[in-house]
Amino acid sequence: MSDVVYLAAAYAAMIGLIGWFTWQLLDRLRDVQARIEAVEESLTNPADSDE
Amino acid sequence: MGMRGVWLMLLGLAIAGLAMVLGFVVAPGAQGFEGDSYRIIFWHVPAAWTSFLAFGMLFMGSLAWFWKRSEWGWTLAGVAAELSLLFGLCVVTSGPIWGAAEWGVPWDWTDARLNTYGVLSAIALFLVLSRRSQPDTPEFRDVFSGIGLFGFLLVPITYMATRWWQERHPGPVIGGGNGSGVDSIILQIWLLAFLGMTILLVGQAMVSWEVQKCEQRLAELQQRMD
Repeated sequence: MSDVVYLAAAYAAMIGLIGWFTWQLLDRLRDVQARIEAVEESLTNPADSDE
Repeated sequence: MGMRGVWLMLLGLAIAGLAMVLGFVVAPGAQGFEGDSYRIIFWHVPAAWTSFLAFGMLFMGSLAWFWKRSEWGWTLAGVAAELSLLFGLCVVTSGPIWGAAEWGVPWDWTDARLNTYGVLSAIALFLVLSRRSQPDTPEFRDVFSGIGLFGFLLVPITYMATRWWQERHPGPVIGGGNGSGVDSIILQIWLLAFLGMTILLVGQAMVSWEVQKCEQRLAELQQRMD
């Protein structure tokens, strides 16, 4: 294989790792914020959450 | 803190991306290396430097937990462990790919730099996995922080490894004594990539901090519900 193929593979691996980590970080933030909202909603309106 | 972190991440990625392009388009060939495979250094080396910053944050957070029982320190240690793992993985994946092209083998078990860095990344992996799988107790925090503190000892050893026991990994080009040195254009692109990755690290740390704080708040709210 040529140098450029190895180089492309190495950069693709690093870009993929950074992209994946950044994506899952933002996903975790969205998820936990939505869960907090849901819990706060059920704490302030307990009757609604029982339905 | 979350949105500012996102903007910093984007800025850091843009700067690091620019440095990568400049490394391909503008940087001259490097002495001692044939072909283009050496151009891996424009991200590989800054990623290693950035991982050392993350391990430094892990050390500070672990120390703050041990010394002051600081919640701030515990959160910082968790944030830093994830970032140490990310940048450590960038180094230990790109390095062997370059090694396969340049040396004909991806890893050399006799090379101290490769092995100490591999252990450092394995420590970060262990810390991240254990933090996600174990209950949050003072005993667990002590063990986590102890490993974070002692793991940091490997950072100066890893940094000096190519000076003390150079086998296969290229020797130091900055402050490496006679015969070391790097082309000024390559150095400038390196520093640009390091700046980009450091901004990315700060942005990711801010978002990760927000995530950890939200997770703590969620746990408190769930306790109130119970």
